Parts: sequence; structure tokens; C-alpha cells
Amino acid sequence: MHRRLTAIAFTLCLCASLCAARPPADQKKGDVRTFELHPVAPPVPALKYRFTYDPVDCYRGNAAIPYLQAMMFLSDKEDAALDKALDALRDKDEATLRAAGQTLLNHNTLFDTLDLAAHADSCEWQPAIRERGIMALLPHLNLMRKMANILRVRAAIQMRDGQVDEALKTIRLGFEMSRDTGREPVLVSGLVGIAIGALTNESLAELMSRPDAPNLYWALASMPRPTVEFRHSMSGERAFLFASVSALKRSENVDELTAQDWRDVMRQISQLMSQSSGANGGKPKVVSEVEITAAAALVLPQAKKYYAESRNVPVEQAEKVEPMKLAGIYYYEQYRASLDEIFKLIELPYPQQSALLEQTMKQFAHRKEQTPTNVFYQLIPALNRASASFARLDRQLAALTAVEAIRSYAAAADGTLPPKLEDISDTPVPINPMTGQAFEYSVEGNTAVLRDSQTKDWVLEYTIKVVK
Amino acid sequence: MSDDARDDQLDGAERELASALRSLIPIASSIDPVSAAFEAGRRSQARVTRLWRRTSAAASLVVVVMLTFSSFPSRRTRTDDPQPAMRVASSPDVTLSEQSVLRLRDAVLDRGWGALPVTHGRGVDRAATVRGML
Repeated sequence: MHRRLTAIAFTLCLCASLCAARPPADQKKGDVRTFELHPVAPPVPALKYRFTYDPVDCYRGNAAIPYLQAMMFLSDKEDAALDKALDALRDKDEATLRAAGQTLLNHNTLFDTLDLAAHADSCEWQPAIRERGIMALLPHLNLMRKMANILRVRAAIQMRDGQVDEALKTIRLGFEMSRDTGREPVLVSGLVGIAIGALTNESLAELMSRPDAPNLYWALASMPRPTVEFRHSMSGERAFLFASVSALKRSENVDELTAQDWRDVMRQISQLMSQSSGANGGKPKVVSEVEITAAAALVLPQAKKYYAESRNVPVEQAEKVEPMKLAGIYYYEQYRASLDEIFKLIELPYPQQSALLEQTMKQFAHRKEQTPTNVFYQLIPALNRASASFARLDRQLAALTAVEAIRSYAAAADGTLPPKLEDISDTPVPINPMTGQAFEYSVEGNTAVLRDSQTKDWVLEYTIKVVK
Repeated sequence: MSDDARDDQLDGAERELASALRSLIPIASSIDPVSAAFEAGRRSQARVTRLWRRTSAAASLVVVVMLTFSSFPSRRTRTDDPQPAMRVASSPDVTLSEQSVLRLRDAVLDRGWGALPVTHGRGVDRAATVRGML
């Protein structure tokens, strides 16, 4: 009897702990939100609202210059107000948001300069990648983030003041800023561009649930995709090695480099990479001259064989080459081959790219583990994670467009939700760019759920309620 | 037989010598037996110590020579590369700025855009969170 009671108590405790360990639905990792939509049809004319500027309204010029000028208007003064307003927005503290945000709203010179930047037809940041490589400085990124945060607060207050058209103009500035930041051909700028786009989507999602919100289906559907191009952001990354290491920068043929050159190249890379935070899987340590020499000795048999095969020369000739030179060529060309294996996938659409990139990065990690002394490998970041970030912004925009498509259907069907996404014909629902398939969709009463549960770790779940 | 009785048998010069000898006071010994033993040991090991010193000096010399030569290109390198394309001087130590591409990229990949460092005088410590993105 006692034994049975103990077993029951143990089972109950286990169940309780499992339930407690499972996160509640609103704490799921990923993009989870709820919309309360008022059924509204798209406006007439259809493109009354737009999130890009019409080319006829743009001027020929470089947006980077007015952006940099706008940064000149920023000071420490607004930091405290901005921090307070962002906290209030997160905590839904309306009074503090209004009080703190009012100071930011008076920044007319800043908004006017940002408007000027958004109307330029190009954006050339001209980062010194070719000259400085990974040492090139991008101090404007933090200030772009600050200006995007100010726009977020501005849009929130404009919405609360019932200035929907003004809020939509602020949201458009945010989207332009996202695209322009992502035009810098460097991965980190692309990532910041994505974050600015996602922050702007927060304003947009908030606006969509307001009773006075127009239907923004066509404004969203006419936006250029992808918002920030992964391929473009990666174009600078390939040039890093050559621009960062003087010997490689000046050489056209690696066979011309001497043993001492290779020793210098490897020491320089090791020294630079040891200062990174270790996003590539563990902070790399500085490799000493002795370690470099020892590493060369370890890899010598493979390096010799590789040299003879790749240069089509007899092994005896390879044996006459300085060991450090053999090791340098071997390490460098192994790195180049790995880089090509990864970069060849960048042009592929995300659903094909993600699976192959995941596999290739795993193979690369294995190779890196087998040859830990190859310092060149430290230059390759975890690109599968980065590429997913780019795709997630487009999935979010596609899902927001789908929500507006559902709202459009509800407006025409007396507030009822479509039983299936295919039933929406006038405002076609975009496919999920992360899977290449339609979003999952289910309806129960006056609540629908739009979901992407296939993308592991980063689910999307939008609960849509129609308010009549 | 007492000393006086013996003295009677001596002549004048011998008596004078005997008296002088008796007036001598023995001085206490200044030799420390422990130090003496240590000194004896040290002297007996001096040869071994000298041998060790010479060996270590020779080894240090070999290391210095090896290190010196390893930082120069060997003669064999020059034979292999009759026309070396370039000679790269030892690269200077470079400290990466926290605003450099590499450090910014790693920070954002690791911790999201909230990790962007503050630009002097015009930054924000906090950034609005972007849900499900970075």
C-alpha cells in the first residue's frame, strides 16, 4: 500500500515538474504575437500608403551623407529620455512613454534630415574594407540603431495621438533606414539593417491592431524583397583576408610567398582573431612563433603531398620546399576550398540554402576540429545562423502581409475569417520564404492562427482575432 | 715529582724556557665543527658544480643561437625562392577597435544588436528588443 502511494506521489511530482519546465505559450522563442483586427478593406487608390518612396519623388544622391549629418544632431541629452520611453513602451506605461517621448518628438532637424536621406536614390557607405579589412571601422552602426529607436518611439506616440498617416510616414522612414543600412556590403551592417527592419515591424504590428488602422496589404505587398540581401552583405566578407593581411594583399600568387611571409601571415591572423569575441566557436588564442613552427611540422606530410599533387610536381621537388611554406600553402588553400564550399550556397533560395548550409557548416566544424592549427579557419563565421536572421525578417513581412490579406477577406465577408488561406483571392497570401511553402493556418470560431512550426528554434505564431 | 723538583735538574736556559712555556695560556679554538664539515663537503662537490654550470651555459648558448637563426630565412629558402616576390617585415601589433568590422560582427552575431558598442558621446546603452530576429 505504502509502495503504491509512494509511486503515485513520485509520478505526480514528475508531472508537476515537467509542466513547470515547459514555457508558457507567450514565452516561446520566436515571433509570437496576437492581433485584434478591425475588418477593413484595402484603400482606394490601392497604393495610397507605401513603405517605399516612389522613384519620381527621389533625388539623385547618396543617402549616407544626410544620415551622417543627422547623426551630428544627436547628443547625450536625449539618451535618458530614449531609455525611459523604450522601457515604458515595453512595460506598457503610457504616461511615462508620453512624457519621455515628447522630448524626442521635438527633434525636427533630425527627422527632416532623415527624410532627406530616405529620399536619396542610392546609399554608398564606402566602408574601408579594401584598405583596412577586418580593421575597418563602422562607428555609424550604433547611431543608426539609436535613430531607429527614436523613430520607434515617435511612431508609438503618433499612433496614440491618432495621427495614423504621420505614424505610417515614420514607419516608412524606418523601412528606408533598414534597407539603407543593409546596403553596406558587410555582414554586421546587414544584421543591423535587419534589426532596424524588425523594430519597424514592431511599430507596424502595433498599428495594425488599432481600430483606426487602414488595411496595409498593398503597401506591404509592394515592398522590395528581400529587404536586406544576404548575398550583398556577404560580398565584403570574402575580401577580408586579403585586405587584412599585408602579405596576401600584395601577392597575386601565393607560391611567391616565402616561408617567413607565411609565418608573418599566420601570426598576424592569429593576433587579429584573438581580439574577436569568439562568435566562431570559442575565443581563439594567440599562437606563438614556436607553435606556428610546431604546427607546420605536424601537418608537413599532408602539406607535402598536397603541394606535389596540386602543383603537379614530383614529391622530391616538394621535399626541397621550406616546411613553413608548404604548411602555409596547405592551410591557406584548405581555407579557400572551405570558403568556396560555403559561398557557393549564398545565391540559393533560403529553403534550399538552409539545409545545405547547415550540412556544410557541420562539415567545416569537423574539419576545423581536425586541423585546429589552421588559423585561417578562424576567419569564417557561423553563417548558417546569420543567413537565418536575414530570412526571418522576410518571413515576418510575409506573415504581416498575410494578416492584412485575412483582414481584407474579413472586410468583404462580414467579419468572418477565411476557412483556408487559398480562399483569399483578391489579396493573395504570400508563401513563407523560409520554407518555400504556405504558412500553416487554422481557424476556431473568430480566432485564426497563422503559424510556421517547421523552422526549428524560431517558430512564428500569429493569433488573429476579428473584432466586429 | 713536582715542577719545582724538575726545575732543579735544568740549567738556567732550560729553566727560562720552561717558565716561558708555562706562562703560555692556551687560546680557545675558533673552528666551528659544523662549518668545517660544510666546507669540506663544498670543496669535495666543487668539481660537480663546475661541471653543471658549464653544461647549463652551453645549453643556454645553443637555445639562443637556435632562436636567433630561426627568425631569419634559411639559406635553403633563398635557394628555393631565387626571386622572392616580397619580403614582409614582421607585422606590427594591431589592436582592434571595438568599432572594427570583426568585433562588431562577432558581438552582433553573439548577442544581437544590443551588443553594439556606444559611439563616443552619442550612444545608447539600451536598444529596443527585436522579437524573434537576431
